[in-house]
Amino acid sequence: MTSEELAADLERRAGAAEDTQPSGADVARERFLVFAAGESSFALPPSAVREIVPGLTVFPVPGCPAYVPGLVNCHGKPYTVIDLRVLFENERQAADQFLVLNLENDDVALGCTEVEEIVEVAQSALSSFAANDAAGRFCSAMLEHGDRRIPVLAIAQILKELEHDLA
Amino acid sequence: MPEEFSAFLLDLGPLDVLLCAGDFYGAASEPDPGAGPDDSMAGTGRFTTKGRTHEKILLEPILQRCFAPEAPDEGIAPTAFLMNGASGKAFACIVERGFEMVSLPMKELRLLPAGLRRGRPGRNIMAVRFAGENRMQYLIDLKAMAEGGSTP
Repeated sequence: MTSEELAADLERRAGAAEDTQPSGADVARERFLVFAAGESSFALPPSAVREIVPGLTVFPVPGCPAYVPGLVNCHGKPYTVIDLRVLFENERQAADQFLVLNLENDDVALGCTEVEEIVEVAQSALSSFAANDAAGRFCSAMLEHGDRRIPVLAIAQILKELEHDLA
Repeated sequence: MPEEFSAFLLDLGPLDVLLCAGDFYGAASEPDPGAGPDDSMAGTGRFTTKGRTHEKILLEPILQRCFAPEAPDEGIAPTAFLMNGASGKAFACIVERGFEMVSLPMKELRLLPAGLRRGRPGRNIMAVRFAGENRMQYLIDLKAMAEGGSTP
């Protein structure tokens, strides 16, 4: 192999390596809406939320578990409200905003006190975990964002729990 | 399909309860004279009017348990709304609040969200109606409550 051939080979290899090297844009990234319910923060994919509505009155509904304080009237339609603070920490938290969820088969809104931000993180910032507490049962992953660890809600699991508790 | 339905509206302070007027075949303000010592408007037991004995449903404690109504005691003489259950049993629903008969558009009724409808609340609440931004009315399925022997 001549030096010219060697140089060409090295250049080719370097090019190939560059092609396979993940660039910043190629790293799989996901976006999350981060919101607070009292002192706790939670995350959801933005596509899971249809609308954020402030200042709705919650009307009680008999026969519901404690984490369902009642219904809200959103554009003339009743939505089941879920209080995440009760679900996770058994502490009631009056909500002043409501995240109306994008669900096909139900009308549900999550009470929240503040919509914090939309973050974009690499998939490596998401860790799965196996815990038996509420965080483990109702979350699909833990989002590492700066020095914060934010649970990503598993809405399907929460609705399954609600169905069980209402039966 | 009718465009409107008739209901008895009970004002519970921050919220209202609607009872479908079509569920009742009559009303009475007192039992037949001499029907028996436990046959009265008060307490549990039976209520006999025009010779027919009804199982009593005391709406007030049910509503208090369900909704914790804040409406003041109006000191109104109770009324017994008389109802035929699907099983053939007769019920007398004792209402100790002021009420009015209203005619409401069907299109203003909203079913509960699907999750609640499939569970306990759906067995007793037929629908809700928003009466302005800060008021909700509950259309109670009193027949289901009476027949099921359950309360919301």
